Amino acid sequence: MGQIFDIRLIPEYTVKLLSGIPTTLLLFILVTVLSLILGMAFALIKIQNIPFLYQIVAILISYARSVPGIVQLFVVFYGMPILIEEFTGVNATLWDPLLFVVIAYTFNTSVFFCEAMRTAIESLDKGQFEAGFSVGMSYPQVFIRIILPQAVRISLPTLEINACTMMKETALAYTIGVTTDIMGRATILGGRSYHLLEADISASILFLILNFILVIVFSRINKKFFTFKRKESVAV
Amino acid sequence: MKKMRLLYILSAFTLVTALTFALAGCGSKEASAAVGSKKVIVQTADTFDPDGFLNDKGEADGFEIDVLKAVAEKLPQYEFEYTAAPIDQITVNLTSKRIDIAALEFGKSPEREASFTFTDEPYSTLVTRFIVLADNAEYDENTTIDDFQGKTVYVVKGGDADTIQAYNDEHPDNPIDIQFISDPATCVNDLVSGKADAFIRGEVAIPAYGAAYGVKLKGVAEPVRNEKCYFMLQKDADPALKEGIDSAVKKLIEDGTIPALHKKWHHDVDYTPPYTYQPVYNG
Repeated sequence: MGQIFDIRLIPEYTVKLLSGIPTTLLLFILVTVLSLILGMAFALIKIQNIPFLYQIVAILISYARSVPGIVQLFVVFYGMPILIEEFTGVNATLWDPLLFVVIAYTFNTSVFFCEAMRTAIESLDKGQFEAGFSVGMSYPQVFIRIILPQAVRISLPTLEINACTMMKETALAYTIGVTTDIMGRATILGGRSYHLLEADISASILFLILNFILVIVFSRINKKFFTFKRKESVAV
Repeated sequence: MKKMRLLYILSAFTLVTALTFALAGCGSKEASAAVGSKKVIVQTADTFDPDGFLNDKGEADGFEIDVLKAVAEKLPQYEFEYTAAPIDQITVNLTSKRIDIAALEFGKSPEREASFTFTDEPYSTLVTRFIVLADNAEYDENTTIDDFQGKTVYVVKGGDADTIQAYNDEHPDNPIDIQFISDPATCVNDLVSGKADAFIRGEVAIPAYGAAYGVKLKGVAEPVRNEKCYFMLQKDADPALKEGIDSAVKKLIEDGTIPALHKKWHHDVDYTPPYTYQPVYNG
């Protein structure tokens, strides 16, 4: 016979939920990589003040900042297939829900990455661009070799917070039918056995471990960049 | 210089667009397989054991799926695909035409009939009861809904809550104290601790919760809901599909397949309509 709260189920469920880690990590890695690219594109549009695109990005940023993540997910999941069918005639309603999660989270996270990178780039002295141009470097060369490394270092703490938040937000994927990630598996496991609390505790243990690893990874990268900075300042 | 900037930005956008479409391409393979064929996508719940759930292999399983698999055998012109989703999403997915059949003990209501097409042949009965502790002598075969006036009863928002609210509207002097609590563990825990006097749930929950929590429960009073259940199809569903399902369900009831599936999944109880409830159900 069972118990209303059975603590012995927590280790058992934690082991079972390990099978959800690949999907959660796949979601996290895809969204992070795509968000960095899109976020950088958004940041450049804002910095270069490109007419029309600037206004579009500004609206997108306002939307992503103001609307709850779960609502954004529903809008993409239910709205995007209608738009796709309207403009291309392609029936997108049966596409894998994971794809809509990646699109919704990429859009949401890229906005926050954009702001982190934009403020980092704008905080740098414009003289650095001029110095690069004076030695014959092109704009992309100055940007990639001089500006970007510094901007990444400055924006790293903000990127870390946003990445950690995004890792947790992947749990919402279950609401549109993704059942292979940690939270999807936890809900099914707990729902079927009527021990949802135990399953949620097991999921929280795994998220705690994953985010702990993420913090260590960012800390290592951070340390590397700051070491570079100290050497530079000693040399000066 | 300005050209180079624009080139850089355009390159970034091209990359993002290419990645997005590459991902979209992965998903579209599934979609293209469904277009143009007589594929019928069935959806049930992912955690509603024993009626609809995802099994250990990650496949949709349970009573509803077994019934539809039997129906599919009688309709070889259709290719049935079985899926499961969170309960709240099933009707939304049917509205957005992601699925063709919603299967989860759906009873008819004017709201649902305005949005969906129901099959005509009922295959099950949804029976919800007041559930109390089995050793609670206060409630027995003579218990009626009136015995819960002034008592705290946990209900799930929706059908049962609406029925109790309608009862309260007729008895404003001494209404039933409705609390919207759906978590099974909380319902049973509060029943044991005395915070709640009863909760309302399907009869099938009585043996299931008893086994999961080690508590003996019983269902008392007249069912709060005693509804015939049908499959729910898209509003503009193919009439041939609806007729095919109705014809198959009728035959499966007559040959004893559906009654046997009820007994297999529902603790040896046959919920094929018409269902006669027991005054006290001990699971």
